Amino acid sequence: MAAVLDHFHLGSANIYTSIDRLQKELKLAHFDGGFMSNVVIGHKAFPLNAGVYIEVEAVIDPFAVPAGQEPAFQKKAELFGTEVWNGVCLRVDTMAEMEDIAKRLGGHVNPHPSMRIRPDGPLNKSISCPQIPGAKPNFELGLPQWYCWEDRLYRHPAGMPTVPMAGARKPNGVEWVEMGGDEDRMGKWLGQDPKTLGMRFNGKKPGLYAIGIKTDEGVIELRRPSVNQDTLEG
Amino acid sequence: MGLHIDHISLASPHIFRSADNLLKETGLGFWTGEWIGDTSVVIVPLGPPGNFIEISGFVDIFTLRTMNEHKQWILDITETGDHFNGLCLGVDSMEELEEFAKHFKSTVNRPDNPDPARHFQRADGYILPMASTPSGQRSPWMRGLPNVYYYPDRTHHSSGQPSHPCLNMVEPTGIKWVEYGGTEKDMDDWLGIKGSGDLLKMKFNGKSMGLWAVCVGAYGMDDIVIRRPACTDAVPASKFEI
Repeated sequence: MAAVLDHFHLGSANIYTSIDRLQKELKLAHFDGGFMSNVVIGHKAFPLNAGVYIEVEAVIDPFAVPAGQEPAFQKKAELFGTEVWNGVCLRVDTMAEMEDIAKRLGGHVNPHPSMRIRPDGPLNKSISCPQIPGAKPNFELGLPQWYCWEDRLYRHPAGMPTVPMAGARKPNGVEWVEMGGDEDRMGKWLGQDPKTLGMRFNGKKPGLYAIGIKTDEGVIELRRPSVNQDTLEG
Repeated sequence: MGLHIDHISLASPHIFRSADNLLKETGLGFWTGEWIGDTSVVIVPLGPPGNFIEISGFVDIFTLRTMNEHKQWILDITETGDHFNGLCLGVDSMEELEEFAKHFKSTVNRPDNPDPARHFQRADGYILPMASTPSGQRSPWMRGLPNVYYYPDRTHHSSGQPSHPCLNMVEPTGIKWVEYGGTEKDMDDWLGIKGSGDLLKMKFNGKSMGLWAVCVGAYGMDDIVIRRPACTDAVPASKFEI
């Protein structure tokens, strides 16, 4: 089966101010996703329905990361004074597909799953690929990575209840995804036509730049700098 | 109610992890809580008459590039893990709060400050109005002493908001006692009252000032005792003597 959109990662300097700003801008509701137990990151998310969500993350433990060694997405968010797009995450149904993708790209499945502890207790585990020895991380190359939720899709963030919010729009998936780089390179990486994921290309440095969110009030745009930009201007 | 315990502050290096740890240790649920600038509090409701623990910590690590005395204090007391860093008493009227302000030779942090950045905000955008005393840069918490609050609209009190639903969650029935450092006379002198021990359900352990433990009643089960070091165990109160 071809991969589908799973989630979009937004890096933040302060997830509370980011969520406040984003929910006012988008008129979309969010939920408190807890924290990543293995990477000391706080997590909040906007479920967009249709199997897609936006996650907003930042390291909050001042003792976990020495000053100056914060994740690139967090440093850029602070530098640019706004959230930054870190990357696109796709989804496949089975670990066999994950293994195939990783093998095709010369890597392997990440042996360290993403382990998020929800505020109501349960662990949310997702597995990613590829990890390619000697290569830069996928997002740093402006390329998507794949996730598999195995039999845990019933607890997927896209379907989580949100904090009540007056006047919230009802989202229903993503219409388009604006990427840097070029379509040919992306197609080779994906092993499928980028158009099947709604991707369009702006010719800038590789990375994610904007998404068009389908809602009951039409498509709304969420545009932020890419983590791969050197300056706010590009 | 008169003078009573309203809430307790637990300083944490990682508020989400601390809330999860406390949930697993006690079965007490929590909700997302409130934030103000670089700091957020996860709220653990403790039951009537409106008690709660706020698990507080930085959520913007870049704030530490610009240090001040208060941030350094938070950093110092959380470097070795969670510490109780504040006891927050409550009164029923602004007049009572003004009386405490006079006693403290201070003023009241007013609930109607027009600057939204001076208030705690919730995830749904609600701005929490509350007044407190004493005011000033140096909190009495740094010397292990309580301050006093008044909530003009108690119907939105932090202790009454719904927790994230958890399996086997305990139903708390309020604070039964707190264990405090120092002596009853120390507390009486600070608050300008007599009999703070009975009035505020305080037991005194003679250690450095500050909160060392809280006992919470739980419906249908044994009381829950939450014990953490007081902030003055990590940073001596003498550092902040006036």
